[in-house]
Amino acid sequence: MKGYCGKILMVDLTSSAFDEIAIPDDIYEHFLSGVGLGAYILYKYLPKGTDPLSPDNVLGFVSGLLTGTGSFMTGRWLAVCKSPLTGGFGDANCGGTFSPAIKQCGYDAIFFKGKAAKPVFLFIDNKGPRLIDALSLWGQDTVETEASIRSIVTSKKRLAIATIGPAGEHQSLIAGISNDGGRMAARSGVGAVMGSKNLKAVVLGGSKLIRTQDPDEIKEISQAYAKKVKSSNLPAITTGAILPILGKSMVATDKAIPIDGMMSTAIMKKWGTGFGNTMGMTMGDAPVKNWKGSIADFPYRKYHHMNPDLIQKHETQKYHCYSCIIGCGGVCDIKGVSKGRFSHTHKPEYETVAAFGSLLLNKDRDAIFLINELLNRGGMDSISAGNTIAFAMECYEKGWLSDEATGGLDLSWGNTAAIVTLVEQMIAAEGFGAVLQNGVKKASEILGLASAPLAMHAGGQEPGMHDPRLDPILGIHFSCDPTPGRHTIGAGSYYNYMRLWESVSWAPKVKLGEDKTEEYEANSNVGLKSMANACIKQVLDGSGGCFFAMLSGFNHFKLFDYLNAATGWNKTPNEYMTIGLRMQTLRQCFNVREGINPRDFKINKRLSGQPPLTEGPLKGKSFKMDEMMGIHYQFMGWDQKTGIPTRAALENLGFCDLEMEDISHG
Amino acid sequence: MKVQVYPPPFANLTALDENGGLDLEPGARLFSVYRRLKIPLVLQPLIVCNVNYQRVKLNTQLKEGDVISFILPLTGG
Repeated sequence: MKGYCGKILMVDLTSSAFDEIAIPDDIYEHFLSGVGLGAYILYKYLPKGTDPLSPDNVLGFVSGLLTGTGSFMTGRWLAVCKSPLTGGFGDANCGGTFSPAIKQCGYDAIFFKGKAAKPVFLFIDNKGPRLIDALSLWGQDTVETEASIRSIVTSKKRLAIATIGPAGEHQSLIAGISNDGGRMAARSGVGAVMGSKNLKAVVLGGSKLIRTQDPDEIKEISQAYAKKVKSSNLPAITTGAILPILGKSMVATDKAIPIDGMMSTAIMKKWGTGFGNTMGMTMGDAPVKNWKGSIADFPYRKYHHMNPDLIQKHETQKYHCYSCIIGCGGVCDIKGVSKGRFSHTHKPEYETVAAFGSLLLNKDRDAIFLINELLNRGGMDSISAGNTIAFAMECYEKGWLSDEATGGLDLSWGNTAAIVTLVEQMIAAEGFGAVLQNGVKKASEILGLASAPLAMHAGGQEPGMHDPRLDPILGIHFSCDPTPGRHTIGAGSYYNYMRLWESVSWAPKVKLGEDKTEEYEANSNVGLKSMANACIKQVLDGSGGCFFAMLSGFNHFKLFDYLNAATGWNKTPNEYMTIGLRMQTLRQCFNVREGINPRDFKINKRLSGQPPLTEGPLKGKSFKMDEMMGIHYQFMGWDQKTGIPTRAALENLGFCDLEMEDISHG
Repeated sequence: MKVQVYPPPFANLTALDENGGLDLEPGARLFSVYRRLKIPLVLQPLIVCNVNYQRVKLNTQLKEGDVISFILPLTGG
């Protein structure tokens, strides 16, 4: 076996038993590792109809097939489980240093079932796995927990630690899992599942080698890629002031322009993801006022506070995730914020700044630094938390929430003090925060049906901070991915960057001058693009690949060549895309088996322009989400009406060895 | 000769074919691309433009198959 370890560790927390399970080579060839291996194990080991917060749920920490092979931009890991937020397949993706540490312990993944009688953490080094009492850590935030564990466990190697904070302990359905001092695998409620198992942390200190078929070839690919990234830089005189202008120019035409994704890495190197906050305002990409507003509600005098140059002023250190050559991460000094409550925080990502900026009409940048650190330490998803507070603010605006109901909090738009208090309450599951701590769908159920139209979610999960009215294919993936509501699966713009058509025969080419308004219609080109997005994202997530490497283009980031060099498989890009289709279809099968109606994952109609916005760059933009979902299903080989994989599609993908009788074929 | 261009959104795109190809006289220099795309040269210091993924000067002579990329931001994150 090359590139992968060929085994997983299954930990039964109820009995404190460890079971090393060998994974046959053909499973890797069918599903890769990462999200594909996670889906395979969940489908195989999770009893049908499991309550996500019961001991029967299976929680996995999964590395990528390419992680640790010498390839670049392949250091992502995923948490997988049945999601308590959606009831379907849940996964959350994170960088840092945790992914290689999984493989250095000799496993491609570590899975947990059962529930510990009292809080524990798992420690693995070269001597093997053991469970250690974590009662003294329960109640600590994620940063404190890491520090405490480093004082408890001695190791020559720097330990990689993934942990939950108080939000996960309270089983908040929007809790995530943190590593590297506050980097979050945030989505799907994976932190709640970890908390439900009394599992405080996973601590890894192994040092085993990862072998590959052709390390020289991997090195050659890596060097060519790194050379291009290294020379992609912005001129020193470039400032954030150009970003709103760039945003405006991006939407000035309805014609497609070929894009060299490599050039976007220069922006990422300079600012990280935060460049998108001011640019997103003039493009219409960044949502405003619970997705019902526009730049007219959050004009320049407000949004200029999110200029990434102003955020960079706090940056004391840039950092890279494992095997990353871009380095979009940073550490910010926030001793001057909120009376020095915290000394530093990870540089806030675009998503967090948008979710607690334009979405809430909050222009207080310092408050966003504080909220960022509160959420990282509390272990809560900033996307879900921001959307949920936006929902509450709109309810308050409509008079559906009294001051008494909010515990005296004035939830007027942009009330920074109330937002900070609410974040603290949500993490602690106290006060009005207890109503919101489980995300927007549960909150709207508590507040009553009338509030449901104001609850922005897809199948229970809140959408990432990118507007489908600007990019309808993004809306397809919000609604059709088995883990809905995520912005990282696919979009028309992503497709343009990736240039898949240069390697995948059936992927349609984006031609200069192509009419972008055609992406608002359910046509075959849209179906093919959305299918390509879904398939390649699975290959990426099976490999541990970074989203931003994907957007640099597969003409530069040679994912398929990397996979062949690591494994010796010698597969074609088309064959890898079929693997991606198989992975995605397995995740969809999991959902159907668990009783999910895929059509129920349709995103709130506000995000498809029903009704259209009346101001701003997205004025008048709308599309028919039901039809868009249908065309995606059709091209995926799923029933166009129901979204259920057809028997023909399952047979073509070789699903015969799985328990297909659980699936009601469309 | 033909070069491959990834233009900025504000460029004159009519000079390019559907693949972003641009026909130039043999021996043409980078500023010819700016001219053909009607990008004001005064903006040059503010614009990131690489040839074959390297920063070069405006008077750099181009050759058949060169890749000329202007910066465009991505979304996501």
